[in-house]
Order: sequence, then structure tokens, then C-alpha cells
Amino acid sequence: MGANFSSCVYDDGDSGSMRPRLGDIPESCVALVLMYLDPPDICKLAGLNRAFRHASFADFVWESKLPLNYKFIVEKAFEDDIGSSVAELGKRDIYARLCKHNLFDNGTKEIWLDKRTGGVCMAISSKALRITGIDDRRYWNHISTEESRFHTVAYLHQIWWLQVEGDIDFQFPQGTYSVFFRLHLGRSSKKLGRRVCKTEHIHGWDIKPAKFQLTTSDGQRAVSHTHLDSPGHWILYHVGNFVSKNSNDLMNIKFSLTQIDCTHTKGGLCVDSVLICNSSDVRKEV
Amino acid sequence: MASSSSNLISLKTSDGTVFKVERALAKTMKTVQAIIEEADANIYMIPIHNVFSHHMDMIIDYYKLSVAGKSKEFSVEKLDNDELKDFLLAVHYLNMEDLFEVLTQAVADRLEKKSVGYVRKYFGIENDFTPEEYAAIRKKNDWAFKGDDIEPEEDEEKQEE
Repeated sequence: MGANFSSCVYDDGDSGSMRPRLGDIPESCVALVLMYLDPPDICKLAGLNRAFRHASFADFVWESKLPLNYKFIVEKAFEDDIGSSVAELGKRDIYARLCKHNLFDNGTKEIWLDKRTGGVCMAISSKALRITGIDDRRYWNHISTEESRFHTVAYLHQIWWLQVEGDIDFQFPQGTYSVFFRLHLGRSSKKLGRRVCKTEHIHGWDIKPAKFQLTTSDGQRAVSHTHLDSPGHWILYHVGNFVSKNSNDLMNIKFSLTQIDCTHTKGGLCVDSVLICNSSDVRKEV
Repeated sequence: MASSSSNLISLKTSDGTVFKVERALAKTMKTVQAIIEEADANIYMIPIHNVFSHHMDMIIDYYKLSVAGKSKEFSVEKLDNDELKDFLLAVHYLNMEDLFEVLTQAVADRLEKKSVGYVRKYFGIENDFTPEEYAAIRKKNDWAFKGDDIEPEEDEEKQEE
């Protein structure tokens, strides 16, 4: 613990009349209290007084909030950012930077920490996915939209063979992760400031379900069969979960969306991205 | 190391009460342990400043529970904020690692999700920032709140008290 107790000794004679207040607690104590709070609370309480502010910068407080393998994550998160000198930042600033949505891999992927829990979240753009027929404008094209964090989605007019795949190599901090495909039936745009959704291409989704699958390099698998629906809304379709046993293990995660029943065509689908996040941080995105 | 054939150590609190405690319990108080080790002769009575008898009662309760493997049953819920602060400082002075962790967690629980104004009021913390400094800190910490439904609470007591 190493707390310097000598700094909080007060007059013997006055021990009855002097009530200590939390403001009198030595800074080392304050920092230890802060360790038990979540980052937003720590930052808020930095505004209490100078002792709290100083304690809120203590490296050991933030080291306990960062993922165990944060050095690996920092390397990935800032690989596109050549001018960045993360090495000189204190741990608090590293945490703050990692909580921002950091684009990497030539802007096709995004990574950030959930600021409350420090859990890793990742989004993989449609541009980083392997889509069968993506180059054939009869089937697919990329459209710009503000409704994607990558500002672009892949839009399907019509196809017999729907196959969208991707994978990622990463060291996920120990824990359980959920994988989702972010999809939208219909093509939305803005007309006179209002959101309008074109639904004329939507077809074929109610005949047979789509198959979502995930596999990991250490043999985990998950499959789900789900009908795509809710035209006009962005939906996160849950593929499944995987477990990372060790923060230092490099894992390869493969995920796919397929609907290859060639007795019917399907279309009118926007594929935005794949989302991977710590299962305890799962929130519904609209 | 001062040799004592007795297994009990006498501790005298700030309010004059003498507690005879087991050597094992005294060992969990690093401050007391240091005093014992530095003494040349037998120590009959160790004064523990800043620690009151009601603190010792709770310390002994905690010790008994942890020896029985039930330290999780120890609770400071019944203490008000002032009493909890006093107790935290007493345990900090005595340098008792495990109990100190329990108390810092308890204080953190009471601070969790509360506004700056609330914490100032109930813990009696004086704002020693100028309004400009405070505004700068809030701005610098903006990242922790961006995107939340809940904004960091407005602190009505920004002016110097």
C-alpha cells in the first residue's frame, strides 16, 4: 500500500474537536478510492478540488482500467495515425484516446473502448468484407450514407447467391464477445430534410432464413438462422459469441452472412458493417 | 523485536480506552507493528492516536469475521458519511491493508454516480479552483461524457465558499 500515513496525523490535544473531512484525506488515499470508480466518475470528481484532480491523473489508477493488452491495441488503433506519439502520453490520456472511435486498417475498421467498462468494441466496414458479386453493378453497389460510421454501405439490388464474409486477426482482451451484422432492408435517403426509405427492391427474405456464422482459429463456432425483416430500420443481427481466454493470444475470427438458396432471388438489402463487442457492453444501436 | 511472553498487546485509543488485542490482530496494523519492532524493551501500552474506541470495536469485529472466513459480512452501511471518513482515516493511520481496501470501496460506492455538488456538500470538500480552472477541467474531461444521455451534473456551488 505504501500510503504515507504521517501526512494525516493531527494535533493530539485536539483530537476531539477536529473532525477530519474527505478533503483532508491524503492524495494517495484519494487515488485509491478513485480506483474503485468507473472512468466517467473519476473524470467528474477531478473537478472536486486540487487533490482529487491530481489523484485523477495517477497512472496506476488508469493502468487498472486499461485492457491488459492495451499496448497491442494502441499499436492497432493508431496505425493509420503516423504523426501520433502515443508513447509519451500518461495512462489517462491513453485511455481517453482509446475511447475515441479510432479508424485503422486504411479506414476500413474502427476500434474503441467502452468508456465505462474499458471493454473493446470493433466495427468492420462493408469495404473490408468479401462480398460475392460486389463488382457487378447488376447486383451490388456502394452507396454513400450518413447512417454508417464509415459513410458507405453495400447495397444489394437483387441476387441468387448472397454471400458476405470477413475475418479479423486480433488479440482480444480476455472475455466473451458478441458478433453482429448491421443490416437494413430498403434504401434510405433524405428528401427535404426527412428520412425516406425506398422499399421496391426488397424481396425474398421471408422465403428462407439467412444464415449467420462465426468460427474462430481455436475451434469455436456459432450459427444462427434468422429471417431478415423490419424494413426501414437498422438492425443488429446477432451471429453468435466467442470467448477469448487470454489477452495475449492472437485470434482469427471469421464471420459470414449467406443465403444461397438458388430457387429464389433476394434484394433490397444494405450491408453496413460487422460489429464485435464485449458481451457485457452490448447495447442496441439504432 | 520486543519480546513479550503475553499474546496480548495493549492499545490505548485517543479517548483513553485500553484494548487488549491478540498479537495476530496487532500484526495487521503495520503502524503498531513498527512501534513494537522499534521498541528496545517490552511495551506495555501502545497509544494509537486518531483512533477512537468505536473504531477499535469495528476493527475487532472485522478481524473476528475475517478469521472466520466471513469478511464479506462486514458492513459499514450503518455509518454516516462523516463516520465513514473518520474510520477510513483511522484505518489509514494504522496502515491496515485489507480493511483499508474494504473502506475505500465503501467510500467509492457512496461517491459513485453522484454529482460534484452532492459530493462537495456531503463530504465537506471545499472547491479550491477558480471558475476558469474548473471550466478548463470540465472541458478537458469532456471525452468521458460525450455520447452519454447523462451530462456531467451542473455544479451550483462553483463559487468560492
